Amino acid sequence: MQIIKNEFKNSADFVVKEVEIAGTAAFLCFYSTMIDAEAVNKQLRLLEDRVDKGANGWGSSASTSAEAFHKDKLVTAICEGSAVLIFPKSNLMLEIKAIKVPERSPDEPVNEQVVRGMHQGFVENFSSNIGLIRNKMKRPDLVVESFAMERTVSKLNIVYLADQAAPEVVQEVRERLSNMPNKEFYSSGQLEDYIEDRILSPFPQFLTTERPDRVTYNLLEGKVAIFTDSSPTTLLGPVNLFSFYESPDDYTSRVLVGSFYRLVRLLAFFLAILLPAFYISVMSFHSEILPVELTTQVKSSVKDIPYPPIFEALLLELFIELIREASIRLPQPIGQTVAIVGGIVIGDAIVSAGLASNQMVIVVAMTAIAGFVVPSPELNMVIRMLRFPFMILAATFGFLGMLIGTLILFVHLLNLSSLNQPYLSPVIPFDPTRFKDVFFRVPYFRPDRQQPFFRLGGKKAK
Amino acid sequence: MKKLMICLVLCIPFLAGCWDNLSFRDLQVVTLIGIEGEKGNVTIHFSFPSQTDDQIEYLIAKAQGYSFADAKNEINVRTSEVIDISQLEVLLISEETAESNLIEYMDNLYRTPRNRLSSKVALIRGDMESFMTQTNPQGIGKNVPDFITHLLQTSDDYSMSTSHDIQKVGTLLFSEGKDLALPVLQIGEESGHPEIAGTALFKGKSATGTVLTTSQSKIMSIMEHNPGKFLRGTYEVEVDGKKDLITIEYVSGKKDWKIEGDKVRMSYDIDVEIEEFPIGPVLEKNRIEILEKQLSEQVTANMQDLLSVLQEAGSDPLGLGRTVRAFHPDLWKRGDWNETFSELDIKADAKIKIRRTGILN
Amino acid sequence: MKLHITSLQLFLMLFVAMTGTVFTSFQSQLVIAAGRDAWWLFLMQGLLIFPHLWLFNRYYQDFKWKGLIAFLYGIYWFFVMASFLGYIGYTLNVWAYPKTPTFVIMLLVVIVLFYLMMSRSETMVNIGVILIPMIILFMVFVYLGLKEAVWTNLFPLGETKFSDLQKGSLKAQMPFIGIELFLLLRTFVPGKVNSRKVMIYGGVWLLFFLQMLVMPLLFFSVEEFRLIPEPIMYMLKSQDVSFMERLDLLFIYIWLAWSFIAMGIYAFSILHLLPQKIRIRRSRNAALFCILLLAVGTQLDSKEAVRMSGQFLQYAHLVFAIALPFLVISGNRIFGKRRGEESA
Repeated sequence: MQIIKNEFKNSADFVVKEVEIAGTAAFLCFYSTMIDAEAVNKQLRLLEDRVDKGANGWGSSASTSAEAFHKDKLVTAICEGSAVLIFPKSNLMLEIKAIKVPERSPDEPVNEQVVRGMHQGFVENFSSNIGLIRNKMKRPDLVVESFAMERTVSKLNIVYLADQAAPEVVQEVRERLSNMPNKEFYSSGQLEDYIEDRILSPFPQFLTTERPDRVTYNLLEGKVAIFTDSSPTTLLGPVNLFSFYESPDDYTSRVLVGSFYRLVRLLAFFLAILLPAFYISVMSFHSEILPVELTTQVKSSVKDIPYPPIFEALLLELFIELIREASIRLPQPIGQTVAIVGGIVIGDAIVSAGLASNQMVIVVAMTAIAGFVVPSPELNMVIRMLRFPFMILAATFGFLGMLIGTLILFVHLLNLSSLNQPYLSPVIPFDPTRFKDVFFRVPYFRPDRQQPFFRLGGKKAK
Repeated sequence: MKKLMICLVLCIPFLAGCWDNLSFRDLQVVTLIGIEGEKGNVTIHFSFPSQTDDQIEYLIAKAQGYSFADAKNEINVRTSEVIDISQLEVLLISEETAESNLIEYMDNLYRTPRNRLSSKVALIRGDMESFMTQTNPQGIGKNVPDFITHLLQTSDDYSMSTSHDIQKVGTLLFSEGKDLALPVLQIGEESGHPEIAGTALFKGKSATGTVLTTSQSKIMSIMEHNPGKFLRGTYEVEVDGKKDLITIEYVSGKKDWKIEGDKVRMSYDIDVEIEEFPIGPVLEKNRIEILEKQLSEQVTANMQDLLSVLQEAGSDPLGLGRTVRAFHPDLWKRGDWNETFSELDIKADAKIKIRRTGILN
Repeated sequence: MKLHITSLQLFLMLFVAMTGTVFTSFQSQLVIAAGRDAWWLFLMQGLLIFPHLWLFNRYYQDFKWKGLIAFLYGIYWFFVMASFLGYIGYTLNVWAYPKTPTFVIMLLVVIVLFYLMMSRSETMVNIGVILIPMIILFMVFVYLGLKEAVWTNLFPLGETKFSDLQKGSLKAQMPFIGIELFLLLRTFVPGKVNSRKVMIYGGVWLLFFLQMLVMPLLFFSVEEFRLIPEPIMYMLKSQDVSFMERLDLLFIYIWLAWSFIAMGIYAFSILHLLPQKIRIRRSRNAALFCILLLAVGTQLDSKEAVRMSGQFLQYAHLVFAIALPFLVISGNRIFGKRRGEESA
């Protein structure tokens, strides 16, 4: 008994009790904080009944299992939240699964809300999560594979559709997960670091989501979902740049509307990165491209600004970033106030104080809004970060600098891969069957011809 | 260490950049330029907007120099900010100046990539200063360049004159087969602000001094087969013994040039619509025929007049030379086209057809 | 790992490499030399691309990329790149950045090139795709000039003297530069390439250059070509579009991106000519290559040097695209056959 206690370092919530089951002495051990005492009692009573009846295989039922005593297995079972009954004489142990941990209801995640469609979200428990998915997709080829980690019994799980996912992609995920140094980690962000193709790229190589419908939709496209045991966030891969621009809303709204907003979002990508840079280069290098009708207006508003456009822009961008950061940290009602104060009051004051021009305020505001259009929060941050190098390039070389920046960005995107699949996939390398999917939300009336997202047509080059 | 070195090397261009930084704040945007004088003594007038206390004032500066570029550089002595002509709206050239080689004044505008090639070009008659400053601001507002641009555009729309930008002027000055024709502005006696006076004809690279009236310009645009949006003309006709005025609008037309040896026959089929005809409806077929006949005669006479004016001036704004050069090399090779053009025997013939009467039935 | 590309990718790369830098500038020289006859002269010459490519496609296997030949082509392509670089530097200096030292502009270009060379081969193969929307946009704006076009500018024909025609036909070779890349790139395509595809490519190429020649010819008078070295850019500049002035400024950057990628493809080809053991230390070699390129490129940035290198390229092209492949292929065929007979 003491041996078992020592194994768990005499933790106060670890309980070992001597009990008698059908005349046999046994130890019952469990973490009192993790089990449902009532359920254990019920199981014990059932167990006695079955032993009394002399049923064959008395130890097995839906929530109990009996096996030979083994210390490691004991530890695992108890850490997972089971109660274990040990029979020292027959050297058997019986695991009773009666976990009781507080769990919240599957509410819609706050950061990914949709107008129409399912209003559910993942919780912090893997079995509940996979339950949500299985509930949506009742098919037998939905496979779950688990990967053990050192020093903790919680597992990494990958979920995919065996009929849809490309085998080489699944194999790649398996390899990366098993080759991972088995350290403990708490967030899916840490996990991402281990299994990404390129850590230093600003672009996310996995799609993260907390929405079961999004996972389902992506599984149907042949992606692989990676769940950690302790976080509601799911990693989906392999992705391409355009996956980040798809919102579940696209597929719950009408075809034309969905397509239109998808195009708007893609436009927003370029706008968010290039607009301030464009304005800066026009103001400091290429003022001749302004239409004649505009010049006098623009001129009168920039005439008295003491700083070069780049500083104006940096000042305002800094403001926007501060407002954003502040309103996330603050509770919601105050957050809105900050946004209003920042947006309207300061925006107006900064112009009348002569620190920035009206045009710059418009440009920065438009860029900020364009940046927030992206449905995925990770890509959103990348885009907001990327505009700064572009602004600096524009301030030193004008359009030439922007061109250099754009080319480097494109080369980088082309170099990038997610789980060895090209990042700009349906566009480059060009795949006509999936190409239209990027820009339009195609009608969904033929689900039997589901397009596997990452099965490259045989003759395409890598 | 090595990586640091590479980073440093890559940073050098960014540190040292901005050579060509030309901040818009420090530019003085010129929207109107006037050129007068002659080679060796060129005067340029600049008009540019200046903001003072939410008011836009148009200021004027004047500079003299040996050439256009020289005078342009001279102006920086007088202005607080750098003069930038990349937003030029209108280029005005005095009639006398245009009579010498126009390219001498246009070359700088044409050559520097920063300049705008779509600015309008017009000749002026009279004192340049009166075009630059508007003595009568109530009439047209302060924005003179804008006013002139729109004036030129409107006159082009109504086929009163031609309207060319710097690019087109350059092309036509160099073109052998077609001569340039530019609108002429003058200060209206009654209105006191710029008005279209007519169309100046060019021969080669310089103006001839001949100026077509606006009605001649209209005929020219028909003959060139390049009318503006609207082309209207009023003629006197005689129906049932009564004389009255009729206004017609050009609808569509066909041109057909026959060139045989020295003889050029230009025939035009023109469809028109009746705009104004106070005598009444033009229903009967024979009445339409009478009208058509009279109109055809008058338009033919107008064309013939115009041709004699053009031939006298030795200027071919119709583009006859282009056709001749392309398809009649023997005629083309006879010598300088402007000389040949004057000597040709050109007859024009117009057939007017009333397509629409302006009322529905 | 051996690189495999599809025939489509092959043609895209070839198209970008052949159009790349020259498409804005060849018109002027050609028109100055041959006058109004330039367009049909070019059309006649352009038709030659069909047999040329067909022969290349048929006998490419007989062209062995080894030893001296590879070295010669490496040098030639390096020179092509250097002269492109010089031309880019010169044009940007004249057109948009008169005060910036050419060296800095070229350095920027070379930095992008270096990054391209360090990338995966797939990147180099595929990057041409980003040009496609730009090319379409470009064509649309060029066609806006159609309303000012003068059809009679194409006539009369046959006025030019024979000697001028000869000079002109040399100038008309400019757009062909790069055709020999086909021989190398073809080796990456597994299997057969349909000769119909080759013909389609030839047609697209011919059509593109022909309209790039005919449009300015319709737009400007012949005498004007002496003043404007880049007629396409001048055409765009004079387009009056309501949303912005100076369309050319936008398009000079499209052209630049185009040239960058063309240079990238040349660099890619040179990399593949290098012997295996040099290819291993890739970053150092790429850096050396870029520095060398920069050093040569900066020597070629004056008007005179640009003209000289252009002229040199015209002759070198004749040697490298026509004479040498012909010699090597026929040599290999004859000797190859003999050797085959001996062993049999």
